[in-house]
Amino acid sequence: MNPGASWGWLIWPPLLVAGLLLVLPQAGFIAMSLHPSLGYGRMGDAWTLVNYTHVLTDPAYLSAIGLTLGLSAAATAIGVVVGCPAAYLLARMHSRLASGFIAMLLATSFVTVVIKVLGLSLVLGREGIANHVLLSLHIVSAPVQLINNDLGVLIGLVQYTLPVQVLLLIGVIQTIPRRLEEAAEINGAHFLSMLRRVIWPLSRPGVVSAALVAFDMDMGAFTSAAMLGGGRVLTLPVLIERTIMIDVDYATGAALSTVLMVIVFALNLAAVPLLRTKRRPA
Amino acid sequence: MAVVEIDGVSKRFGAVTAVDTVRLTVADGEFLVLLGPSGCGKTTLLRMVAGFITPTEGHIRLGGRPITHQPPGKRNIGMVFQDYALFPHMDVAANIGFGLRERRLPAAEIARRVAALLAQVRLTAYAKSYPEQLSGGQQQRVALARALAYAPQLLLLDEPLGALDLKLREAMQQEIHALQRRLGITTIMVTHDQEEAMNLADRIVIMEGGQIRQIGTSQQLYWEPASPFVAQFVGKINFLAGAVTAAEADGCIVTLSGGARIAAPVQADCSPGQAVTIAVRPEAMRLVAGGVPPGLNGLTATVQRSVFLGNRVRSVVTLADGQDVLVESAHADMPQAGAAMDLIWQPAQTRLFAPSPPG
Repeated sequence: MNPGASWGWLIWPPLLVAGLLLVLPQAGFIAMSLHPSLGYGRMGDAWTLVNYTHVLTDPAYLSAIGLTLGLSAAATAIGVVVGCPAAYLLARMHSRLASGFIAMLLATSFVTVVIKVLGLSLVLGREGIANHVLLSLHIVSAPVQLINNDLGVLIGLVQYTLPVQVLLLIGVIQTIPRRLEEAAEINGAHFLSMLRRVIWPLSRPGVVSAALVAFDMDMGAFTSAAMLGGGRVLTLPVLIERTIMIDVDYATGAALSTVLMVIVFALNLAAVPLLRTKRRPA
Repeated sequence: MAVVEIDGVSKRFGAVTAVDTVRLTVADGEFLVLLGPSGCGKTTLLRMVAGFITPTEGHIRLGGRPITHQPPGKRNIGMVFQDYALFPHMDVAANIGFGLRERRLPAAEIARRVAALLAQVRLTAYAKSYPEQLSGGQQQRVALARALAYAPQLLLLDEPLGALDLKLREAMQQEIHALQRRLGITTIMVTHDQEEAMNLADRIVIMEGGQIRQIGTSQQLYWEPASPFVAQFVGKINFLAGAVTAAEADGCIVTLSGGARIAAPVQADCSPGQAVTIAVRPEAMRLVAGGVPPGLNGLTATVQRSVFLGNRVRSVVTLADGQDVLVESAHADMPQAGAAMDLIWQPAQTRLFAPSPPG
């Protein structure tokens, strides 16, 4: 008998728990977003789409959506550009040095994001190391504003997702046998040509999925955006928190959450075709 | 003319010497096989010729030009890897044409050459297939065609048949041999399979511990092994310990540890008192009843077991001193287990070595 069949039921308890924990709150949110807000946290009983028309027509909300998408896309792109070469080197290094780097990457992911962001705000502040270096190298003549603005949030998002991207990409590169590189090499391909013709086509699905993971994390990033934005950079997660905690407007907050979820979900679905290995006929 | 010259090449990894001062030349059109147990340095040597490993010492020349420090792609060498290393995202035609595209040949020329190669390896119908859709033997042929596509000066084969089952392996050996002869391309192959080596090689290089132990045709290695290691690596052989008791003009008399006297042709270490190891091939020996004919070597032996192998009968016999000896005969008669018989062979079939054979 197929062992998979007899033990298959084991998948159900975790699936059920995860499903309940995901679906129930989301269903609650979606339901909340379909009722009118009566102010002071009270909700009306009537069903309505007014919260969505509100969210999707108000320029302030639309610019928040645009800002969140833009920052997340930029952070993801920086992560891919910086992460791919680093991951390639780490995956192809056969030394203890590489293991050391990977261990360090893993270790940093256990540090809570609050601590990491606090450290970053010390580095990026007016009196921080970053400005100190820029000034002493005469790259700038006056301290640069590196936090409490979009740039600060972008740096925070990159810091948040880059290690994850590198770890994922190392795994992607490691699945490509080294012999393929040697085969390309002895066939006359120089390094860049080998990367373009062999490594990139074979790693592209993995790069796309690593980028998606990072993008999804960025879209939902609250701590980095809230702390490094200094309350001035209103990404969707920050805006949702404010709407609910400060404005006590559950309906609008729920509508914003649903919009965020739908956007992320749709973009992930749209990326599915990119997850297949592209085959190259002669 | 020597196409490949390997001149005092060594490779050390830290304290480990993988290849130790190897000197070797490969002639134009020759099929040379590097044979040895795993860890003998044969693969390291091949990878140095390919350019994936830089020698610690020594020089490698290809067609007279030094290539020791050239990158692999500049050496104009074709290589078939152990697991073929086909590009999984490219179809067969694109795999074969990979090196031609790197050389910036016009598309029409690439198409023409790929078509010719596909015909050579009988895969025309599979041009649009992907490697995963092919059998092991077909993948092997694609790898071969890809390695030959840009008409390299030298073909390297790194255990190319290791992943195939026995029947297919023999068929592929025929195919590789025919292709190599047809193209006349100088070839170096690495294998640990002595039968494969004998099947394909013009010359075989036996390696052990990073050094060359002997170079020769399969017949030379089989009948005139330079050491017990070579003798037991190429084919089966029996070793018996003894000492030279008399050296005569036409031969050398050895007394075995059991007391029996054996005649052997005069060989290097044939001086009285010299401890030697006698080596005799299983098929050089015969089991007879009723005495040793004059002029032959003979030992009394008890048959332990006889096995019928179709084209021959293999027997294990035990000598008076308890040592087991392997005997193979093309005759169909099966010596009975427990029978006391005479083990006989021609003195000329006896080889003498300095003592202590491995294993």
